[in-house]
Amino acid sequence: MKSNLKRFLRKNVIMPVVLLVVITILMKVTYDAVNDAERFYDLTGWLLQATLQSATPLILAALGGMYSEKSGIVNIGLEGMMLMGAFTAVAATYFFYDPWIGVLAAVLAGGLLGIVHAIITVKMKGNHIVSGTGIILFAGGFTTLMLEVIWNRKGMSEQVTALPNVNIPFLRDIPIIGVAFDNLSPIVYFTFVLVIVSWYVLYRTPFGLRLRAAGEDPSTLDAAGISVEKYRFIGVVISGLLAGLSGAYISISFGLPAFGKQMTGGRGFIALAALIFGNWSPFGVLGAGLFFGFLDTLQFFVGFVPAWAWVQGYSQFIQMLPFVLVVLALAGIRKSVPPKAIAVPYEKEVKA
Amino acid sequence: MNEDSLQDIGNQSDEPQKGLISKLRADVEKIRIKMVDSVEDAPGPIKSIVLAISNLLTWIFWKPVIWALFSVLLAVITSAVIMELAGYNSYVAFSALIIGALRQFDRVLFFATPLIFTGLSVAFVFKSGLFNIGAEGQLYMGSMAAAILGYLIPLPYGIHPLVCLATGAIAGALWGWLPGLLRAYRGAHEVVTTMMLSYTAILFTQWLAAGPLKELGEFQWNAQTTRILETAELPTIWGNYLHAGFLIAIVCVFVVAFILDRTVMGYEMRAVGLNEAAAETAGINPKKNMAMSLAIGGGLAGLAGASEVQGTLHRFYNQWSPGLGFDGITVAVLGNNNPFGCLLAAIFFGFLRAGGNAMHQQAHVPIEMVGVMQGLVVLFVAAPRVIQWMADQSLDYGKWFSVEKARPIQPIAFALSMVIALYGAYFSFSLLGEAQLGLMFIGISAVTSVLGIVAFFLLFARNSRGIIISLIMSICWFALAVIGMGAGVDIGFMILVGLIQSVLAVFSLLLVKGVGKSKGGDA
Amino acid sequence: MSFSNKGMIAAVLIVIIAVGAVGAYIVIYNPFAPPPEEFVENPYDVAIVFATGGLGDKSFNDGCKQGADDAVGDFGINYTYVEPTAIAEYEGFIRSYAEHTDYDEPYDLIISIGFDQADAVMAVAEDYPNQYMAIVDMFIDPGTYPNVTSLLFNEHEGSALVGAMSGLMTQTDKVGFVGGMDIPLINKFAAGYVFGANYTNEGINYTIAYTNDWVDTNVGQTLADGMYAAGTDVIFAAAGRSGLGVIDSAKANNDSHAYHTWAIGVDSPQMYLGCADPENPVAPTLVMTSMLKRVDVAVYSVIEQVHEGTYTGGLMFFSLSNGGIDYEINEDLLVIAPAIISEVNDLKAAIIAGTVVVPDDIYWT
Repeated sequence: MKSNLKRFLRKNVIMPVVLLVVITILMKVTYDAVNDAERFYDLTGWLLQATLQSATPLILAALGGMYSEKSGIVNIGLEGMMLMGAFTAVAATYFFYDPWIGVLAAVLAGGLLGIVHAIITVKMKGNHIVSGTGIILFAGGFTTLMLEVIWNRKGMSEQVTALPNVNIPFLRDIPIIGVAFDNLSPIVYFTFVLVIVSWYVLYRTPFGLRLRAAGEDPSTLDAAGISVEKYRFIGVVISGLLAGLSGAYISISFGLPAFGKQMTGGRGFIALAALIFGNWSPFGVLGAGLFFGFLDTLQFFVGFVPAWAWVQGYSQFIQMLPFVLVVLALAGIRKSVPPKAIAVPYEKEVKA
Repeated sequence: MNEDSLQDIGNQSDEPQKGLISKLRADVEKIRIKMVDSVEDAPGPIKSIVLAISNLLTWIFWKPVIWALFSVLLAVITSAVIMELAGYNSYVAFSALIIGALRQFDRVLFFATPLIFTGLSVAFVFKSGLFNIGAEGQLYMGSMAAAILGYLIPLPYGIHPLVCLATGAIAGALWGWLPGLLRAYRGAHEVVTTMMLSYTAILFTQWLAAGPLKELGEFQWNAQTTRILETAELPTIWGNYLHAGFLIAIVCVFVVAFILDRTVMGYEMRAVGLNEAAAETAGINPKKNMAMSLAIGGGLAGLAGASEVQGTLHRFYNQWSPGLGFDGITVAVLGNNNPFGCLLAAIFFGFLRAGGNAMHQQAHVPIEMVGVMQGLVVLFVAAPRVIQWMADQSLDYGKWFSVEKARPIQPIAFALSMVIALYGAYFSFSLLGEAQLGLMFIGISAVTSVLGIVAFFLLFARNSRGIIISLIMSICWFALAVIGMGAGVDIGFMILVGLIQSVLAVFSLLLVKGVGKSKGGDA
Repeated sequence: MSFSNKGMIAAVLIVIIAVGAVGAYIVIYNPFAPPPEEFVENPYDVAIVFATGGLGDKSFNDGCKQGADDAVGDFGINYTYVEPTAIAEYEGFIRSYAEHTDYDEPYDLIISIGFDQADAVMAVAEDYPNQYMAIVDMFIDPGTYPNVTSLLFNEHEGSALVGAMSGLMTQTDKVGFVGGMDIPLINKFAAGYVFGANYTNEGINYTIAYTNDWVDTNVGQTLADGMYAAGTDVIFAAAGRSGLGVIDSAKANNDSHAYHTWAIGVDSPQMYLGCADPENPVAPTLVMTSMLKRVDVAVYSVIEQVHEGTYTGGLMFFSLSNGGIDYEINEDLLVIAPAIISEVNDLKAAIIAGTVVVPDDIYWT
């Protein structure tokens, strides 16, 4: 009983309390920095909004990685798929003047690379890491090449139409919340929906059960007469689709609506870290993604607080935090349990 | 942990083979045995040389070589197609690349030098069943350590470079040892930890170079350390580029080969890599070996950084490496994780890099094409069964001709359909540039090109579903022609392609109906 | 593993010997070189080694190409160039140009772009004392290397002008600076900017922040969003491509704030980027001005020197006084009150006259 209480406390009280303390300190510091109610609302709102904005590509890509890894296929090629998505989104928007077509094309392009990864790893039983590396290299080269072919420019493409942001009329006038949640890209809201849908699909549908079984215990799945290959294939392709969407968000929905050489800037790898830090579960990924997004924002935030300006000289250490935390998490401060049969190619047993 | 699929090649050599290849292999084997027999009584040195050469004739040796060569070939073909689609002349590009690289062979070796080190690093770690994906971070730590020692401590000529190299290696080794320990004693997966530590190292060295170790001076504007002393520099040995680091890399190739094949440690590491549980039963400590292996791998990557700093950069620049650690993976993969294979693979990639500039200047193909080729090579090497599958299918396809000697119409019809499907895929892909014709047109073109590739492979596998897809493709052609009508596109050609394809498809379909369902072979 | 290592060693030895033999053959006989003639003329007069960022940076690489292209039109010269992908390649490229192996005639001038080429330029300049060279954005001691011209820019002067303008334009008395990285080259911009803003609006609040990234526009946008939220209404971005995110942020935030959100461009004229559709710019724009660093002027004038035989080497400073540094005025896109323009121009005249000295490094604590 006592241990139960302890566990309950640890699980449900400590984290919120810590979060509350951190948030209170941050708000106090913010208020001191601006000393003006309206500015304070705006700045706090920005902190939340920027967290959401930087977290969205991470969460999307990490969710994709989750589908793949749950089915037993390691996908370190997320970075390449994102880059491909980012490029295709801009190219399609450029040709068709409609960013929604760009998003669709990006999703498909990511999925196409997902199919390549699936063929190599699932069908051909190739090495997952090697295939992922190949995808990253290929996407990096291919997108830069096509950048020059299509726009005859180096480094950065022409600007295209951006995906319009969603305005929620009644939210706008609420302080903090208005700045934070209004006027965001539709993909941000969609990401939250996707997290819930992913949880439902994975844990409440037969499809999810089979997908997880393909990663945890493929031979049982096979014994039940269900094709392991099929589910792994689907898992990898879904990961490509989501990574493509994440890329589209980076290029045409956030920041300058143009494609720049290597514009994903290692976000695919941070997404991988978020996946592990989030313990391969949809809500874990959501939490980890938001946390990493928050860290991303924090390094800029310190610049606005005069008392903390010295921290800017150490911003590399803030940037390092996601990576260090994952290493610490894996080293055993927190238990991370990857799917059991991950990275093990499944060979159907030969029936005599 | 099972990432042995790369090693399959060495192990699966005795699987039974059929047909032409096996006959060829048997013949070669006969020659080899004859050779070995003929030198039975020859004096020692000659005998050992002949024995060594005779080993070249074994399938164990040739299979990975052929496999790698085929991957390169497929990658070259694919990138030629990409170049043509992008509107470049692939012939001019490749000849410029080859001639450009040959004319400046010192550049080739210069580019190969760090790749040899990082390739060895990845390959060595792989031998013990682990994957060192973070060679980049170890390289940064090594280069930083070498740069610090290079400018801080004055030492005499001769000793200084060696001390710097050693420090670089130790720094890299420590950075590799950490994930090794975590893997061995905490079970933290090394793919993830090395990758994360690699980013950590890049940021950490950036902080050092921009902060405490930044070079001072009125006109010093960048995040970089002070230039290393002249005593610490590695001399240039050939041309304008190649420095003595290359010689060290060659030495490392032999040392790594020696460690792996001739020492107890190497034997133990390989045993752990092949089967961890079995090795433990045999009294080998897998944990110690894993940590050790990652440490040595890290040391090799650290050497890469140190030799670059001492040989060419002469100081640490923030983010100086263009992904050398990452390229190490590709080198190890293409080199089949064999030290000598890594050497050749590194020279091959160095060749691409050195020739890339000539290709850019003469054929105006962007240098990124080299990256595309590199990625394709890796993708093809990653899937050993692709080549196996293609070899099997083409053998069976060839047999198909000989089986139906009297009536080879069906294979011929299939072959023609294959050609037209492939051409259709190419042609429709090139139509993607006609964006002004609207979404419908582009969409159908994209579908057609995908269908063409699918049809090609299905037909190649002698699967009758390929004909159906071929038929759908021809319908797409007519649809494209209808949409493109009056828009200035050459629709006559599309109709022609569509007609030929549909006639061929119907014809093949009739033939197949006569014979029955497809002849097996799943795609 | 039954890998026969002897076989492998033998194979590699054979390959090495073969490659070595082929290499030796190529080196000695050089079969790929054009057939020897009496005199191979060099078709190029100028060779350019770009910085690793490559063309398309809308900054010094593109500016240099622009200057060279202008020189082609005016002097009828030809130029060739390489785009290295790594710092390690610089010296080899510069040295190859200095050696002019393919041609009997040397290049008239080798131009290196960017501060990280300094080591390479010095090494080659020492070995080829008769080869004229130039380096953009870096100081190389003319006493030791008389054959190298250092093309330097007084960016702090231009930054002071845009700072002065933002000091006059701000409604919230808060201006911001977004730099790419906390290094002296960027702090030169920051120092000038803050000085200028203080000159016209004493005691103005300012925020300085760094993106730590030169390419990611999203980072620049996030940072600028925060600055605008904190009440800053003018932001000067000197952060390469990630600074373009600041301009985008200005566009995104303009409607949701009570004050105008302005951005200031850098290096090249960027006012058009502040329009709703940058490909077809029409007024209004949210980029009030740009600090112009005319790398093209610098490259053009050094080529001109060589072309006319007046090359002297040494330092060439480009500043407000010789038009190498300036600020952008584009009346088609934005009309700024004449009073403000005249005040900025007064500062410009004072700087040129030397009555006002702009600090070139962070002068506050």
